[in-house]
Amino acid sequence: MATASPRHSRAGGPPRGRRGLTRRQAIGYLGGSAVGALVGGTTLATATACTPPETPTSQGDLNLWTFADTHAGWFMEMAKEFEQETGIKVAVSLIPGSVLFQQLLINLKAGGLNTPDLCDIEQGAFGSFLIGRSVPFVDIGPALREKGYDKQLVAGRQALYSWQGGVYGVEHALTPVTLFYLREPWERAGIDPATLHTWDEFSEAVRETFPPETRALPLPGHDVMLRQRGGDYFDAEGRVTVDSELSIDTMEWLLAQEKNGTFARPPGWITEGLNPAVWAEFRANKIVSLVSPDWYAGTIESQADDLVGKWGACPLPAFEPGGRRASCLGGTGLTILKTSKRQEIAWQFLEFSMLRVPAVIKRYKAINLYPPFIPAWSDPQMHDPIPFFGGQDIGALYAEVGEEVPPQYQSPYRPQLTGQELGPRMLDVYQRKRSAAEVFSEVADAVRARMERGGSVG
Amino acid sequence: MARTLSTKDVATDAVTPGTPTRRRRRSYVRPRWTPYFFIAPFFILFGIFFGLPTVRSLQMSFYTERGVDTSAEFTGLDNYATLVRDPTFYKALVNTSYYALGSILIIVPLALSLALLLRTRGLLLREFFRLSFFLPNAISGIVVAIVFRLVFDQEYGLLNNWLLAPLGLPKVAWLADPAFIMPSIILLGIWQFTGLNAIYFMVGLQNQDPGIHEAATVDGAGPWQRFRYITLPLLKPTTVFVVTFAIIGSYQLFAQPVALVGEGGGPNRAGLTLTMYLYETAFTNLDLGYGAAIGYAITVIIVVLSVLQMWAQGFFRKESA
Repeated sequence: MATASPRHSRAGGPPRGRRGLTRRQAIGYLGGSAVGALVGGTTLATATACTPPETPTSQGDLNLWTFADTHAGWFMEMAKEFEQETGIKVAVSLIPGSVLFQQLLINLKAGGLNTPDLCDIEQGAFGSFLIGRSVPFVDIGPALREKGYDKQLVAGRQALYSWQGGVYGVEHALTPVTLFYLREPWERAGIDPATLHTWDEFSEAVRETFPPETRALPLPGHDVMLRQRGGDYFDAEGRVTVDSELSIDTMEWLLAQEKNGTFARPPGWITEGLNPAVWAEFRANKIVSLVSPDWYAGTIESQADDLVGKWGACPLPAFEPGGRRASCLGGTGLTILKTSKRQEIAWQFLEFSMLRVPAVIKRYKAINLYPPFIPAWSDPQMHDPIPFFGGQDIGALYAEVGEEVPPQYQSPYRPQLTGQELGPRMLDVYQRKRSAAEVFSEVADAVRARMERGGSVG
Repeated sequence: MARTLSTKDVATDAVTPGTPTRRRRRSYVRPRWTPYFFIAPFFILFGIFFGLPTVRSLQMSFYTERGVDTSAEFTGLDNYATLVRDPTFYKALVNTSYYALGSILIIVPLALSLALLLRTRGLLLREFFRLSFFLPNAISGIVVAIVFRLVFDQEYGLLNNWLLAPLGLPKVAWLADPAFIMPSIILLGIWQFTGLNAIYFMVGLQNQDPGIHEAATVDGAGPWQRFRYITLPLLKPTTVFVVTFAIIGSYQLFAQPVALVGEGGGPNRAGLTLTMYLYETAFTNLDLGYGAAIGYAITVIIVVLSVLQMWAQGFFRKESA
């Protein structure tokens, strides 16, 4: 019998020409395939998601990530100009929404694998990057001070990207919060909202002049109004202050304004924000104004384009005569990653795109972000009439209130406080199921407990 | 010189005459190894990409590791001690159990009813119905949730305007009122998973010997008696399978609630599930050790509940018999 039976194999191996693998070979192949898989996997990972090469490539000498398509478009334009001027290519990647921040956190945690040189970080997500022994962004504070940029940028906005003495980003937008109002109903009522200097005057005028079914505006955010009064959820040292007297009083004031008929709570406003039901109330003139940051203009345009051109804007009424007439909401900063091998070139691009008057004017024209870069404010191009506001010189308004924009302080626990502790409980406060004092105290305790557990930070 | 032969020597000499007994022979792979060799790549990749991370995360659960730039510090059972005192974990556990209970108690009977209905003799378009019931399961959870956001919209949604309004009922804030968030997610689950489970039950029903049913009919058993004493007991393995997978699926629920009410779980965190809390802890707060502990807690919960329901259905009694 020529067939190789197991017995035959045991006796003297399979016959010539039908030899199987020796055990050693088999184990070798198995080991080899394991090593191959590891190496293959690593190679694949390196090929598809490698750390940026140290030398310039055709892909881009610098890699930049952003989460907003509007920012991506503007950065691409800047990249073209930068390449013409310096010969250095900048590759801009759009990774939409919060995916970018989680991706970047994970990549940094994986030792800096596939991290960009520059990255746009939304202010709400910035705090997550402050947890750990050190901040993963380059401290650009010394460079900003050396060139005098620190005095040209609105200090309140830079607070968003500052932590324990370091400055880790440059803000795109001033994000000034002012009062957007529908011109027609206010004109019909015979009131110029710009002449109402305090919230008391505003409230009184609205209740006396408008019909009872009309309310001035949907309830503004508690954080927005708190910042107008000089407070915030954290102080400059990163201590939790959401349960401060000022914070509780601000919440109670908001609820009182709703109760007295000045502010409205349209369907879905607290949980979803601007939505079709809210626009229906604007169209029916049941609501006639909105406490709004500059960048809301784009949102309004996309959701209610029939209202474009019908808006005016003026400073917010102050809480007391002569008080602050602006607040802030939102923001995004451009950062340089410590893992970047080309930090010097990255700084050059940051300076080119964020700290030059022509560049920030282009951004304002392209995506309506009023710059926190003060030298640009006096440029005539910043005062061109804006169709959204029916030709109003909105630049003049933002320049007027610009330096009043309050600081918003960062903390590693800011995302946790706003998204995980306060946000889910706020509906109870708005619905008056629980008092502001009770909820804010609970939130503050929860965040303090997290901070205690948090270990080394920043 | 006299030499005592051992049995080993005899055997060796008998098999390979003339071969020196001390010579080291090359051993060859027996053909019975060949299948293992072919399936080895899967196990190697499984070990690298599943086994190792599983072991690593178990190890991580005994360490405190927070933030980007940090080193792991051994803290023993500290993460587990924090877990048993964490109100958010309990909130997520209650929410997830609510979903699991709601979906199992509704989906399983509904799926069985559908399967029985689809077995009806002479049913027109049977294959069309089977396909239709299965299709929701082929759609990504995120896509389903985005569509259901429109269905649940308070002002313009299908449910409020087409179902409640004609009955004169007030509009419900399905995704904004904490009391309605989990029922909304359960409704979505029913739509998405009933069809698949009905198909499992149909397979179970098809495998039943019609002779037993015929014999029962001859013995005078009515439809309800046949269903109660023959169909249901014979479906036990399928039911155990369906319920076990429903438990596993429920405690791993992630995409649908995230897309419906956001990563935080919506107002009062009424839509926060255990896997969402794990994700938030590990990848938003970068508290990796604690996230790993939550992961293992979920595993233990799933295993315990699965074993308990199998025991309750007599699965182990049958095995031992």
